[in-house]
Amino acid sequence: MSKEEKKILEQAPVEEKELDIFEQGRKDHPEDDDTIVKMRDVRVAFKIGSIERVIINHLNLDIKRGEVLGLVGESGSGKTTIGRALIRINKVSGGEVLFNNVKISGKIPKKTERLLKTKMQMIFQDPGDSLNDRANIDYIVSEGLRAFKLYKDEEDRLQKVQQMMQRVGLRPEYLNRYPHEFSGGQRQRIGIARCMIMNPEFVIADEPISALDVSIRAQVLNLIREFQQERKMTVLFIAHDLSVVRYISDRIAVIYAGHIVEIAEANRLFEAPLHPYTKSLLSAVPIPDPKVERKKKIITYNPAELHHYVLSDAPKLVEIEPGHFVRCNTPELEAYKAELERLGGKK
Amino acid sequence: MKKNNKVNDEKLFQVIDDDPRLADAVGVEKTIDTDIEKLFTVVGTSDEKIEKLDATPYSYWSMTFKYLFKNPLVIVCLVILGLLIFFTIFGPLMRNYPLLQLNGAAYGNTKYNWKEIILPNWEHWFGVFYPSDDKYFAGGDLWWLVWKGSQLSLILGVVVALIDTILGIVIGSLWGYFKWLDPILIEFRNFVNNLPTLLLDILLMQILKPYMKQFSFVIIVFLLTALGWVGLAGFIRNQIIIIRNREYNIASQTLGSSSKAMITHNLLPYLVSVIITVVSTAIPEAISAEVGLAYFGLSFDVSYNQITLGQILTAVVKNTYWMQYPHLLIAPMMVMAPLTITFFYLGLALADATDPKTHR
Amino acid sequence: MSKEKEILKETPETKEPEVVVDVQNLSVGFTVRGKKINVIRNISFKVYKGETLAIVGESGSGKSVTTKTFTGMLEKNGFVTSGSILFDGMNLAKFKTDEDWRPIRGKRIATIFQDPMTSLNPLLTIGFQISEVLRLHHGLSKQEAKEEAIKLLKKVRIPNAEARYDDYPFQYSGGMRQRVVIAIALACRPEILICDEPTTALDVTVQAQIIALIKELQEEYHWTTIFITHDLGVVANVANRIAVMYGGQIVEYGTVEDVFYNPAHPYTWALLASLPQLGSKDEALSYIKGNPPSFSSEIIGDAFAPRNEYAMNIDFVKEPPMFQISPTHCAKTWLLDPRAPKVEKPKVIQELHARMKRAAEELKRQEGVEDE
Repeated sequence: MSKEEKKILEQAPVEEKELDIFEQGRKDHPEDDDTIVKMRDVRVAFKIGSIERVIINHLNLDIKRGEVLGLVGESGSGKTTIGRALIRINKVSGGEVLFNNVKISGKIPKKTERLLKTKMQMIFQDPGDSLNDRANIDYIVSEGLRAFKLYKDEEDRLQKVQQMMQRVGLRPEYLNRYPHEFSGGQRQRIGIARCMIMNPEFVIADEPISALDVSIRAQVLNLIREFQQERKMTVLFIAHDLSVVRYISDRIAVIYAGHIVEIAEANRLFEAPLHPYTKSLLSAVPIPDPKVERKKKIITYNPAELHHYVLSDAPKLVEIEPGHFVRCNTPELEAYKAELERLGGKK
Repeated sequence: MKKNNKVNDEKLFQVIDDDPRLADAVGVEKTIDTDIEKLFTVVGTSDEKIEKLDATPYSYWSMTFKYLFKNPLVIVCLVILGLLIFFTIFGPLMRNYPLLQLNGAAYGNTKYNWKEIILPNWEHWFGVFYPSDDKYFAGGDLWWLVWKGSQLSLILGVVVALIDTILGIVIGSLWGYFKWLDPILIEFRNFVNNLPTLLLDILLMQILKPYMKQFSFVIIVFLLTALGWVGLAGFIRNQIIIIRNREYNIASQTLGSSSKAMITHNLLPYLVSVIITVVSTAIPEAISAEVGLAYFGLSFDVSYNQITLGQILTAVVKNTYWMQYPHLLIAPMMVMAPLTITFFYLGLALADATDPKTHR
Repeated sequence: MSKEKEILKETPETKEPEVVVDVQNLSVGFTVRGKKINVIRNISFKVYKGETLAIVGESGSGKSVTTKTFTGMLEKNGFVTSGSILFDGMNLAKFKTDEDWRPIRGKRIATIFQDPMTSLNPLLTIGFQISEVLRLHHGLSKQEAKEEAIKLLKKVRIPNAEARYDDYPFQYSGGMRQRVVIAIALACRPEILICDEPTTALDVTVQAQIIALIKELQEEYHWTTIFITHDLGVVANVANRIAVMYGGQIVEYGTVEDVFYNPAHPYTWALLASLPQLGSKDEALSYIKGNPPSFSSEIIGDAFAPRNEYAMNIDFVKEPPMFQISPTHCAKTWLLDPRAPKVEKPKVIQELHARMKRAAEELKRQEGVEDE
């Protein structure tokens, strides 16, 4: 299968010698090449009538090329907003987003915006609502190909779609069926197929499994992981459940009320969670063992009681050990450092 | 641990006997008891078995028609409509008394006394129109008149409905899809809604009167469609706004689909049901609208031999003969009423049948 | 089926707690596009008083449909085809009209749905909706109802209950709305509370709180809970007994210990093995291949067979009987037949308790000294 994808790669830019704006962006800043997405001081707000609701403010986040970054938080924390701001569904009202060192937030040329769509794709949360129910699978999977004419002729297109269907474990003979004939898991794989057929550099997976039964979640998860490793893609994996992101993520960022409160390598976050919100998330995961679960204590996170932030010592995201950041003020930093000592250093 | 679990082997093989498919499926020969071991061999799963869908794909249109024809009301309406169309085509030929032919004065017909209204009889199935005080219809055979009128009314209704619908869908879907168009068209709709339509029609008619002889059909269609599409376009716009921000449309946008693809593949297919309904109600609406125009003398000119149901009804209600001789009113209403009502009910039934939610 | 009953009768009934609902050979059909399909296929089980029964299964397993028959809330095209549901001397399977259901639905058997908005009216204040129930059911005056309603809101831990009494549902978060629905259910003092995936749409942290709340209130009000979920992980804490459903049948039934520590049905194994909490980073997470049966064609043999890694030839031919494993535990799989080969359970499941203990210790270590 991967041969085919390589073929797409080779075919797509016919004007190969001429670098597109994003390729140029990479070339111009070799020092920054390991970061694919940079969010600088990003602010996203929604206007309802005259009231403006700020969802995200002063957000800084780097996504490294080729990694899976898990973004975990509860509903309303802004995690979906971040994903949608990256792919320009939500407007960024402050700061900037760079993709391959090219600004992609705010007003950008139409050509750049269109080119971006071939490089950045999204897997949606609800497979029930994110597929066009009145179009057959053939149309849905090849929608992106059609939009950018990424095929030679009808035969080529059909072949690409069939191969992609097989790749996600669906039978190619069902191309003429309609989404509602498929189960939730199958539909989500259709959603992945239409995203991956574009061969994007960067994929935003917005809670792709939370609408699915637990029993089939791993299939979708494994599929995304396989694509990512095969193609060296970058994935932003958004979820509300830490137990799931652990399997797929290289790094995990925990977000609360629009702020990233902790970010670390996936294993490290599970070994040594520092921020009380991360801890509460970890403790909330139910343990499938009646004896153990009955004894377990749930930690509730109450920011008003826990943090006493003052303007003169506002909380910041601080790198407490290499690659491990936590949002805290000075006294908290000391406490976290002590805790880290107790938990043992990084292996 | 496992005690009470003896199974009746005979019974088990009886099951296989009953259904040869099963024996084939497992490769068990039915008479050999030693195959128990084979039966209890772990074979696991295969991809073959697990990603299968139902054998019969669901087809939207076949389900739609199935539901449509299951509805007895639809059958009744279709029969009535079929009869109406049949008589509309062949009725005037059955009793061919073109207008004015019976007019005694002009044609020297002495069979009838033109001072009386003639009741339906063997010769004139719906009777004969008034005596002389109507300039055009005096002495007309009502059967001939009514079906002749139905011809033009029906054609007019279909043409007007088609134009209204096409304009309404095209403009409505652009209106709903492109946000920048919205304020402009909303103002336009407000403007149109506040126009005195009748006055406008009268004015237009006065201007266009000289061209009525050659272009009467075009002019009447123009009068009826000039603003008729606005309502439909607004309706389509509302429907599109309801589904425009649904997740699957956002997905299509991130995939780079063009506006044209969005409208034709993502939005309009969801509106098939409402569009069909609107079209089927637009036909009777146009027929009725013509009746309105005719009442104010803004419709076709009978002197050019262009008869519509509207003109006949107008002529009937101009005086009170119909109170004494109700057949004068009943005859045109017998065509007019079923025509509009069947279209209306068919529209309702279509709306139901084309709604995928009913396909359960 | 008769065999099954015989087996069940042999179990010593002396220790058995009081039965509130006794479901016998229940079958439910639906008419879909003019075709009749069987969605619940001949199931029998008991719900014991004061306990929590968890019904676990994937979507389409029939878990919701089963409990909808308890309150007569099947969709229009669904109907009980055979069997009985005995509750307090009545056979609920025979109930037809709303008139029949009125004294049961909401009053004696209440339901909490996944989406709290199915039970709330968006146009009425939270306070009004609770106090109305109180006035209707208990004949309280307006003032009394308000006081009682605020008490209930406090009981379900709505912060600042007095102030939020006059708020509308949209002003509440998802978790808070679900609490309100629980409060409304509380107002009726039901004997049975059916929780139909009450936490599926909620965040993990909120889910944990809601489950804890339901458990706590149950201890206080002594009702019986039927907890429906697709996630075996969440029921370890709440359930006394678990019924695992697949393809419209109960494939395994036992106490929570039976099901977690000694699961017998390969479907239960697969469900457990797919829990992300059980895996470790180095192994690929397992999942159940394929899709639940669609019911559109007749199910032959064991419904799970096509997806079952332990499927035997017989599974494709003949439906297995229910094998009794212990007085409290039974499973419907040919693997329990003496003629079946011995198969090893997946490793994850054999090690379940050891793994989870380790996980819990890790958690404690992170929390620090507080509870040592």
